[in-house]
Amino acid sequence: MIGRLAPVITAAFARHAVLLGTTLFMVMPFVWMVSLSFKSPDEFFQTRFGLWPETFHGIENYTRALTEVSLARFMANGAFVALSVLVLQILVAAPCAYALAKLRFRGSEALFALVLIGLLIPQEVLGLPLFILFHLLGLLDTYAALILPFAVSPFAIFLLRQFFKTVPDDMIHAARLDGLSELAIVWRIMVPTAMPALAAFAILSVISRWNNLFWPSIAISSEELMPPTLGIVFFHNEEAGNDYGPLMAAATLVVAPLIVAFLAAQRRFIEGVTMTSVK
Amino acid sequence: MAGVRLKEIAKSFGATDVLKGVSLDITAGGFTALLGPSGCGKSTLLRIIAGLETQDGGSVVIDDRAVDRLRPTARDVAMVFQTYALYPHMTVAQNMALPLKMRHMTSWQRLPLLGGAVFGNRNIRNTIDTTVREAAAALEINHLLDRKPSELSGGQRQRVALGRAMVRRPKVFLMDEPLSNLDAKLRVQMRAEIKELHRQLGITFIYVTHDQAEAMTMADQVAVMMDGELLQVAPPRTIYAAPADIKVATFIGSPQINLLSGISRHDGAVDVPTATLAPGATAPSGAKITVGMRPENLSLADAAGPGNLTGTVRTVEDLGTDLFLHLEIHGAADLVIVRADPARRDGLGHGATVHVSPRPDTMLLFDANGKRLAPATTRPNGANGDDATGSAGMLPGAPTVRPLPIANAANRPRRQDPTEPIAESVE
Repeated sequence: MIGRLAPVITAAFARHAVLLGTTLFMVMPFVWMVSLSFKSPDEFFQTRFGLWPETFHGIENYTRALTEVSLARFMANGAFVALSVLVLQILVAAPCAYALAKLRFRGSEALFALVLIGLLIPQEVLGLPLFILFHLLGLLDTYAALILPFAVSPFAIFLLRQFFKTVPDDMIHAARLDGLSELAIVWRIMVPTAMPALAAFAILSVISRWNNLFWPSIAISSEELMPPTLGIVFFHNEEAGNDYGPLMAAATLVVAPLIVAFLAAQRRFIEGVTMTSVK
Repeated sequence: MAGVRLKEIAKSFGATDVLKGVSLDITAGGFTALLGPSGCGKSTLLRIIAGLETQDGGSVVIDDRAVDRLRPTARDVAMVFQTYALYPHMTVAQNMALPLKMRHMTSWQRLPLLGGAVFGNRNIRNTIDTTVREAAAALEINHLLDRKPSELSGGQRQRVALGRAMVRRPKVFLMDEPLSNLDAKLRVQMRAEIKELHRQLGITFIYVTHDQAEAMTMADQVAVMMDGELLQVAPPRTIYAAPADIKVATFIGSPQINLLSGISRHDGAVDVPTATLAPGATAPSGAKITVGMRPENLSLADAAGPGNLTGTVRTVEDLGTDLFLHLEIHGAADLVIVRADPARRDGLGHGATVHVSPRPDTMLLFDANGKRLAPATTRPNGANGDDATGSAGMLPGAPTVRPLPIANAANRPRRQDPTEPIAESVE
């Protein structure tokens, strides 16, 4: 018995060792950030390496992070922008995805190909054209500059289209006979049945908006419009010097809402990305 | 009451002609079954009536009004789907209320919270709620109203689908194989209930099925479709006893009808392998003829005779009520099946030689093209639209009288098990 099980156990052990190794690799910077946020400035440049602070400097660091710059304002900006973008993305993507998944019309395949091409274009490539466009529109340094470039998400269209494809045609036929218009079918039938996919997308979308530094650093210069990432950079430039404690405290505070949100929606997120269809 | 008239409906998908000019009159308030093997175009026809597909040619008239340009909801038809197509995120009550809400409330009134507070939808909501509860009570699903479809069994989902279709009192009720996802026992029960529902609602029912048992027991008019064409439209009894076409004759009936090919003589008799039959229909002398005989219209004879078939027993199936003998007739392509009295079982083992005499007035004659030749005088079995099963299935819960020995598909092998007259779907 044991002789036969041995290779299985070895394989499981190796698998977990690899997974633990990579996890450690991923988590380390994060743990280091949290650890630094509790340390005093004297400890930063010591040769001794330790995660636990010698003198607990957390209260000072977090107080400075919260008081010296308007971190709350940055986070409110970030939340407003991320949620506005998410709402717009769903408003645009759901009807598009429905049309691509369920309606037969000339050119639908070409349009879908365009969506796929859209998936391939990195956001940085669009930085300069968008900057010029928003300059011409006079919208630079406004909330609109943070929100509008992301209103159309090819990824959302793609993800929802794949999900809508799994909805049986008869359900749409039934809805048409029940008197629903095409848009009513989208909002009353398709979107509610795609909740797992939408939850997954919402998490991905909010995270990428919240963490985005590139575009805000181009489009925003006023402090009161800054999202959290840009705020931290601003904080770093203005205040920190070699004082990393408050900076790390600010970074920890900025990441915390995402982690809470992800943990809360984890099950739905996994359902959504693994494409469990409606039953 | 709304009748439905189809005029020369044509539809093709790519190079395939799915419907080749189908014309059909469906009586107002009647129960019409569209019966045919899968892929014959019957579901497409139903979808065209509903407005879910657009026909390439022809016209659909509902209640004396051409509806070709109307959207599905404006046609005032309701449909029950094979997969039920319930909305998975809504409760049973919400599923059933949705068609009423879409019809009787404005989009402002449908808004959650605001709709009630600002636009005064309370009265409409109450009416809808009452209607849903009444329909649910009629279908005995009122205890399920707060559940989601995923928490229901197949039969319960079926009832909810029926309920959602009937709450808004459509002019025409369309059903697309609504029973094929249910198990055999439940299917028999639901047949009776749908029949009863039709009696209560009194509206036009159009019922698509590949299961002849469903068509024969429920409908008062059966339209047999094959390869995009209507072969025969008639009451079930006529379809069985006087099929217009050899394809209809083989599609309907279980065990399948026996077919023997022969040559007609100048005196009207037909030479078939081992016998000369006097079928009572006329054919030109020397023509190639196919004679069709239902197993129950053959009986064992004591001795050989000019009008008796002679064969060797290959298989004996004793079902208790019936004894089916499969005979090999010298010179015939297929085995001939005879229904006999189980009491006569003795001496009918494998290899025994038996003589069989057909009842003359029940023989069906088909010409080389498969069209039935008109009988000379009497109509077989007095078949004239008097649906003997009409009252049998109407009482819910009443035992279903075994109506006609019928099975499901045309191309079924002959050696099926007739212990289960309403056999499982083969598709």
